[in-house]
Amino acid sequence: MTDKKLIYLDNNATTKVDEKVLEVMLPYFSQYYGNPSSIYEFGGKNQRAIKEARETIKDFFGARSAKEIFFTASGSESANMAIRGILNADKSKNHLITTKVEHACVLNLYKQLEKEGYNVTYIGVNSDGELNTEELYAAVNEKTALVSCMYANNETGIIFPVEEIAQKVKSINKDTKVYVDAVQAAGKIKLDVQNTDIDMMGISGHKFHAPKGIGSLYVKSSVLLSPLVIGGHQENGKRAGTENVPFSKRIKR
Amino acid sequence: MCLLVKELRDKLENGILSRIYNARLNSSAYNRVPNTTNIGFEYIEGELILLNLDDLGICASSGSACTSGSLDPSHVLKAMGVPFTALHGSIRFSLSRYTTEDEINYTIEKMPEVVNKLTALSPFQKELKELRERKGIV
Repeated sequence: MTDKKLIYLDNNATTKVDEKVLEVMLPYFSQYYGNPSSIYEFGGKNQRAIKEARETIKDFFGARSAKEIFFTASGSESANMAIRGILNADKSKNHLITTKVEHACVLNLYKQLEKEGYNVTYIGVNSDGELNTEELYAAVNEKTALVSCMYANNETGIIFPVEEIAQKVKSINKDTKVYVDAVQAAGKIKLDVQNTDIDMMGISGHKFHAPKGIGSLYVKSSVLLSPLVIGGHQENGKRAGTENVPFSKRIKR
Repeated sequence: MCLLVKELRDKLENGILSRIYNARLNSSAYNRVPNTTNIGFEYIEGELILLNLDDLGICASSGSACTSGSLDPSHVLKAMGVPFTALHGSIRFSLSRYTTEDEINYTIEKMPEVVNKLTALSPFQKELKELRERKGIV
């Protein structure tokens, strides 16, 4: 069989791994394979490798501190960790707001939360795909625990004004948390969370030339989040499981 | 880097829209990420376009349908009120920094062939004729 021509125009689905990314990852599989939690140098140096990676991602998000950065396995996990984490940390509010055009990983989680007793308001878009922000602001009330809005839509590429949304939502209810699914924005537009009112932001490596199986979640230091995966002390107790050193190392070149 | 991706995206978008009368841009919003375009092809099936493109080695997507494993049209395009006639024939092209101008030229060249072939088979010939008349195409 001859090699078929390949013109890959589906980069919102996934992307090719950057050769340089792969090169940096490879030694961590069979050469530096120590557990970052081990006491000896062979493991301990991987703790430093993770620390460096966390610094890189901190800069990528434009976050204030590396303590605000958590590694996950995917954009879906980032969304679940953020949304469930907020709701489990404070059960006093039962109203949630999201958009009708979120990715399935967020939308299906909200459908599930509805079954669990939460009230969810879904905000629509206009014919150009732009969010009806006034409708969103009007929906915020004292029971609103969380607003989640994607940064850029995966199907149309439309960018939503997430900074403005976060600021406006906080001015209506300062206790409402804001989660931004930035999976389709990361690597395409510059992220800069630190001077915004956005509380949490999720990304996925394979959408911008890192491998599948690594994602990250930014959580503002003032935000209290319950862990989704309970176990060891990894990721500051917020996400148990031995760190994925090679992948963390190269989520971002 | 992003400028180049945007230039290629715009070239693809304009190339398709100017060559195919039953193509419509599903969103012309200015504020879009530079690599994505979503185009509806009226009165034909998106999945058929994708399969024909696949034969030519071109990978694109019809939004969420392929991941959900269902034939339901995209919830995003539905929320935008994209007309029923284009909803099922909508294709997303998303570029990367590895996309070349040759690839875009090839896609612009092949898209009219694929779409015209499927349009000729569409059961909506009366509507297509009306569309041509509206656009001043004889």
